[in-house]
Amino acid sequence: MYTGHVAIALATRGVRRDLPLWVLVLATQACDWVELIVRPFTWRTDTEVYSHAYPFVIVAALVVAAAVWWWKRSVSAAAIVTMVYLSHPLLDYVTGYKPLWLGGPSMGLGVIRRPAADFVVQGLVCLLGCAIYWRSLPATRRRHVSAAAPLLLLLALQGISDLRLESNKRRRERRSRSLGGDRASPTVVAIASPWVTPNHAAAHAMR
Amino acid sequence: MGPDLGAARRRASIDRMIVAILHVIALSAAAIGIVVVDAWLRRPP
Repeated sequence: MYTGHVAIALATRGVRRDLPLWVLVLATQACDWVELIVRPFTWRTDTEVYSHAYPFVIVAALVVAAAVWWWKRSVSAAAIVTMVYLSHPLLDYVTGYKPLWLGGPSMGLGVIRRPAADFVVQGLVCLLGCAIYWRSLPATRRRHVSAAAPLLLLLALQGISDLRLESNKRRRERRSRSLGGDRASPTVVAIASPWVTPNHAAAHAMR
Repeated sequence: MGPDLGAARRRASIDRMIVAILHVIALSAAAIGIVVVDAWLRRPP
């Protein structure tokens, strides 16, 4: 999932006004930042394990929860931030293809392989999250044009991301056709696009 | 695996890393904008 993570942070902000939005955004995006940080120090196949799989993701979520509890002295605030953190890998199983646990299988619905469907799914998550957030705004501010800015921004970003995915998908298909077969090898598909992981590529080639 | 394919894979790996970084940075920039809008919308009257 991409913009859907920020939508989760917005929805949470809509129901817990004592938690700053920046904390929720950090919690909901933390897995991706961890992935980028550990990537230079790990094998490519292990990177997502350390950032998105169990038990690492639970350990990281508990560290964040402890920090929030120390700051707010509120068990419920810490629990909410933990859930927001853990929502990241769960949502990624819907759109992506991630490892479940250390040494375990990678799995997921892989909606991201169909960019149009991905846009619909993530757009709906954004719409729902922004609606919950919008209801929490003061009544006089709800009609302000900037109240729609979060939704418009997230949908625009998601649209750009999915257009890029679709473009890469078509390029891969053209390359596989030009290589003379209906099905390219996973290696060829993997190097064709930086958006596709080897696991995605293998699944794509097998279809 | 020939040397050309190996080089292509390394290049693709670097490309993937750059795109992943840009991907996360773009969303973070959008999120910062949303945080600013949130603060503005909730400012005291």
